[in-house]
Amino acid sequence: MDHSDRLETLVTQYENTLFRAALAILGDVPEAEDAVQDAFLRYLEKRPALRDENHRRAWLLKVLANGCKSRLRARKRRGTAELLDAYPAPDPDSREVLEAVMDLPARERAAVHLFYYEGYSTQEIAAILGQRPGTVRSHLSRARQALRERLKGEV
Amino acid sequence: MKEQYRAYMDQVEVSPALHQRLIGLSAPRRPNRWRRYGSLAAALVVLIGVGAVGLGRLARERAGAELGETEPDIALEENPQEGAGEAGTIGGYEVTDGEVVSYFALPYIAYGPAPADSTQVDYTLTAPAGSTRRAVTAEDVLTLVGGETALETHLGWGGLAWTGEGIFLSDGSLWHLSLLGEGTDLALSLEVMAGEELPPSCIVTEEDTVTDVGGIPVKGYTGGIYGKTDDSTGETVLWLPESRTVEFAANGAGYRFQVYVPEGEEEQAGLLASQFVRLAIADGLNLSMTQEEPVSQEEPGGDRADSPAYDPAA
Repeated sequence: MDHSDRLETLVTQYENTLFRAALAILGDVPEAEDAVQDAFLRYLEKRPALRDENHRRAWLLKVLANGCKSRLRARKRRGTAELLDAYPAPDPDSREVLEAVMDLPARERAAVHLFYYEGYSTQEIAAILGQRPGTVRSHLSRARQALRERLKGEV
Repeated sequence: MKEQYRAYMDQVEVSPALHQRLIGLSAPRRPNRWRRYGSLAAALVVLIGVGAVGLGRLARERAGAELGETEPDIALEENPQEGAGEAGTIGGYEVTDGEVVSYFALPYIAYGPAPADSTQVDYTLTAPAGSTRRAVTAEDVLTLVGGETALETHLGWGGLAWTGEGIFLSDGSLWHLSLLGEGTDLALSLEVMAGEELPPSCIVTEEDTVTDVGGIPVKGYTGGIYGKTDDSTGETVLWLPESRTVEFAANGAGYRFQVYVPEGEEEQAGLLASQFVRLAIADGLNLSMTQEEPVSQEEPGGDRADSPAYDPAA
């Protein structure tokens, strides 16, 4: 398998994972696309020696999260509307959930996505986001509280 | 909510155009290592005074200086190396700063058990004549570690409340620093001593567990507990029974760094200790803190005449 085949395999395996996480954090489609590209570029540059696929997935998400943090620091406005325009919610309830999640602060959105969608533990999320586990738990707790109040139902 | 969020994200996929862009990527040219670390090569001057030691941030040759870097790895490994004293890493992390990406490999450090066979000695920290003391501020902590990125990302010290005291020599240079950072689930204690001596300790251990980190021997041990009670109710408000302590001397200073965490968070304590060791050895701390008007002035012999004075030369 040559380089291009390996890259295509890597991209095909992880592009949606990274794209979804980037959208959750950034809420903006063009920025999320660029963040995903940057993550794969870092992978090509670093060529990390990783134990297994779980390791690779966590490595890519970590690089992606760092890139998203830089973009958030640099940006002037938030683009939530672009996300739901490009990927409409299938029904009003889902739209309400998405809007509630995307209205959370980015750091809470990142924890929510990695916990509820990717299924990582708080310890793993802490390693990916470069935070303390206690910090991750605080973010999740605050996010749950905010979502509970906004959605007035089970979170 | 979870089901709806998952169902929504499941239907989100990259566009064909993005997919084509990604599979057409090629590895970027590696940046020149010297350019990457150029900003770190600008150093403050080390002050040397007669009878005293001044401290500043030292410039370091960065080429190949990453500590114990083998193969960069992002996940933590429980015990990647067998036996204490062997070089290795416990993973690392990347920091983006505009276009510059730095990778920091974190050193593996072996920890011995809590000092069981040890002798407790009383000591008084006796500062040289003419020294002054003052309280350490949060701004001092930022100066010490090199800024907010270093504090939050390189060290993981964000969100802590800081107290501490610095003792300054008559020429204004820092002689001794004690610092305590406290959070809801974390406490850090840092002692820094000018020169290559370790800060004094009331515990003398017989057997040490030492790891070589880039040529610097780092002693590590466990066993400390941090607790805090409410004065009015007597209720325990903070209980951190797990700890990791590292002691080493590097870049003209001796360090004792202790991390206290809740039960089950030992891995986090080890990570924070490794992060501090990496920064202190690779970058050095910035000890050029400003001395304000003295709060109190030290008299020769210290203020506890009934205890033996600490003499590092003894």
